[in-house]
Amino acid sequence: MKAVQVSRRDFLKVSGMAGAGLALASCTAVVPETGTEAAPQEVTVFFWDGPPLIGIREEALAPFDEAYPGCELNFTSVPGGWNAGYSEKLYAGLAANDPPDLFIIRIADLPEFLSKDLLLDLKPYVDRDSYDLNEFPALAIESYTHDGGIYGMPDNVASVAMFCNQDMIEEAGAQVPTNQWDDPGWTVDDFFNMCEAVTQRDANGDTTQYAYQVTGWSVIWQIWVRIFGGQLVDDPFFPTECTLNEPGAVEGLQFYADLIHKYGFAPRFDVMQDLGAVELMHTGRLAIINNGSWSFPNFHDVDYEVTLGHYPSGPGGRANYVYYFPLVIPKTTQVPDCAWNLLKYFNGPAMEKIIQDGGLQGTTLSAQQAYFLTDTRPPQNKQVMVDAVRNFVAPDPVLTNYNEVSRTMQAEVDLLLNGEERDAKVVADRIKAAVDPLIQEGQWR
Amino acid sequence: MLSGLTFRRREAILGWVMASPWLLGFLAFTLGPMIASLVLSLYDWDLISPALLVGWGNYREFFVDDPLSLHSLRITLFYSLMAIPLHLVLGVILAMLLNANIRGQSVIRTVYYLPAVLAGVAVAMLWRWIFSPDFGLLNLFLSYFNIEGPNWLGNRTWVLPSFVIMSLWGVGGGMVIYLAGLQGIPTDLYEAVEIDGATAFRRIWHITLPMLSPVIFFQLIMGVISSMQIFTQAFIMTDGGPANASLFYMLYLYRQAFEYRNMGYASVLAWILFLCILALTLLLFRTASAWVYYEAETQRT
Repeated sequence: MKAVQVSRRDFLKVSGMAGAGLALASCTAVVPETGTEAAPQEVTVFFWDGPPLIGIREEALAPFDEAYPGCELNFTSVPGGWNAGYSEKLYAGLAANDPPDLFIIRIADLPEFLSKDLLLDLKPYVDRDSYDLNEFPALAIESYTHDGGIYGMPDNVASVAMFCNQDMIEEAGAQVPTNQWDDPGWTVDDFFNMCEAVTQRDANGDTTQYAYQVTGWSVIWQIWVRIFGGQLVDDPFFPTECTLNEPGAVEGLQFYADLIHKYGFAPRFDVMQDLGAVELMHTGRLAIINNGSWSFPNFHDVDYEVTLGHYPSGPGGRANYVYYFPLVIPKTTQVPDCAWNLLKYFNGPAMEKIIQDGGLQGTTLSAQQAYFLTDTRPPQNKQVMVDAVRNFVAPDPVLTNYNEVSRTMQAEVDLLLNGEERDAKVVADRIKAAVDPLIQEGQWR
Repeated sequence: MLSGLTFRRREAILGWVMASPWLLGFLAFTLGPMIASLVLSLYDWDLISPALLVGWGNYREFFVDDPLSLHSLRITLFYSLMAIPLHLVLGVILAMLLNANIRGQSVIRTVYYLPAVLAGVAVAMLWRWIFSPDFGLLNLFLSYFNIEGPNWLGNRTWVLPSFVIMSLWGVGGGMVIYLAGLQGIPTDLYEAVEIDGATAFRRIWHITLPMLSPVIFFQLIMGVISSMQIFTQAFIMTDGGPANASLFYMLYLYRQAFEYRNMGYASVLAWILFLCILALTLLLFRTASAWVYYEAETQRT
């Protein structure tokens, strides 16, 4: 067979023509074959699942495609939370006008999304499907509402509680925190007496057993501010000024910091960061820590009685903090019906599985109730978490820059908690001076 | 295709073609974003709504309205002033010690260099434990001398020195470069001063340091650039606290860009950092003729 010699020029010509042909072919419209069904609409969803939730939510949502044959789920998780890549990915999608069809945001970010009119109003879908919103905590829905529209549904509604080593407290002959929200017999004075009884020191005066965990975690010092009748701002839905320097708030902050520096009932909060409160509790050196339902698996196999209790009541009544991050649908979605169906599915069949598998506290009160009343694994009295959600009254201030406001507050509170500053009034005055201009900047409605 | 061209022209075209991947990369991923950020610095832009022209407003905010911008620049400079000289001095001393002809020299050098291989989050976590006020190794060590160690990372006074101490972890990286420099010094220079009866100190002062000065200069420039950009440690260990005492410039830039999404203002921060580093580098180059000795350089008279 005679070999054909191809010149370089010929080779380039042929290659060029082939390439051009392929490029043209790829530009032609794809015509669906006659008789086939329309392809399902892809609905993309972004979450930030990390351990222990990783995989749980995706698995729970997997049957969605079967439940809604016209839709096809595309699940993406960016582990690590908002600041670990999730927000960058989300904002890159928004900037490119290609956001996911359903995604989670922090509650503090919702005002910014609303102020820029980025989100789809879910009210018409709620009305069309007669979707029962009474199942959700009212304040959460109220927080997602703007100008009569509803712009989100909860991803999870999670409270915090006092996780108590009941054995340690009872051995000290002290009162265990109540599991009844309306219990008049668990006040700040009772809490103080409990701390005094539980805290133990050796002959050198060194503390061998602490009563309570004081932490830099902002939601906890906010709870103590509220217990003493204080508030972060004058009106959370329409904030105009910081009110942390008012007497109740100052008293709450002072009491909280004094638990470490004046009374020695709590280890230094920086020590807690190093060791981990759960470890101190497991080793019998700390009786009460602050935690949420995500920490339940840490207590399933402990060799002591662990129970949940409410925070004590004070001049401001009883208080708690509840996370209620929303799931939202962008206004630009091409598949609003599928996105809405996915949202409903998430809060319905999927959520039951997610709660059972230990991922989230849940969104609807009935689902929370069903699980927390029947699960017998430690900790005991999980009903406390549901009661806290039901009685939740203090949303985060609705500001477009609440993250910055929150950071500014925290920087000063850190000084109070680490003992560099002892006077809560001085700290609170500084916070007000720094935060009030930010509040003016962050108002948007 | 290139056959009709002269050899010189053909070579020039090939040169450009060979360099084009790098050039394209530079244009697309370095110069382009730099120009874009310069333009952005005149705008208020949060990624999700149209950019709003604010002119010099962001620059004014940096210098006049924002107390944290100059604060973060100040503490970064303060950190650099503490860390860079320590790195230079310890690196040179270590290199001179390890330049001696002793048994197990390679092993010792490797041991000192090893920490420089580890970096980032793992090291930050490790040092968090070392600095732990009640259970940390550092305070345990101090307690042997009846010294009560401070709350290193939780106290405004001690948090910056803590980062400086931690930065010495990587001193072995510089040591290797100094070692290479030391080994490039001709031995006949030492033999000459030895014949003249010079002491060890004079040998170092008149031979070692001048001959090593180009390496020291290089390390100084690199030190300025890297210390002005310190980020990971503060991000992991203190998140800028307590009370913004470790809010380094890059951390603040990150917050403005990716937490508060003030892209225009973050661009201003980036450009000011660039100008600061450029100014410091130029200043060092201006001083170099007074203390950096290049062996091959012809002295102008």
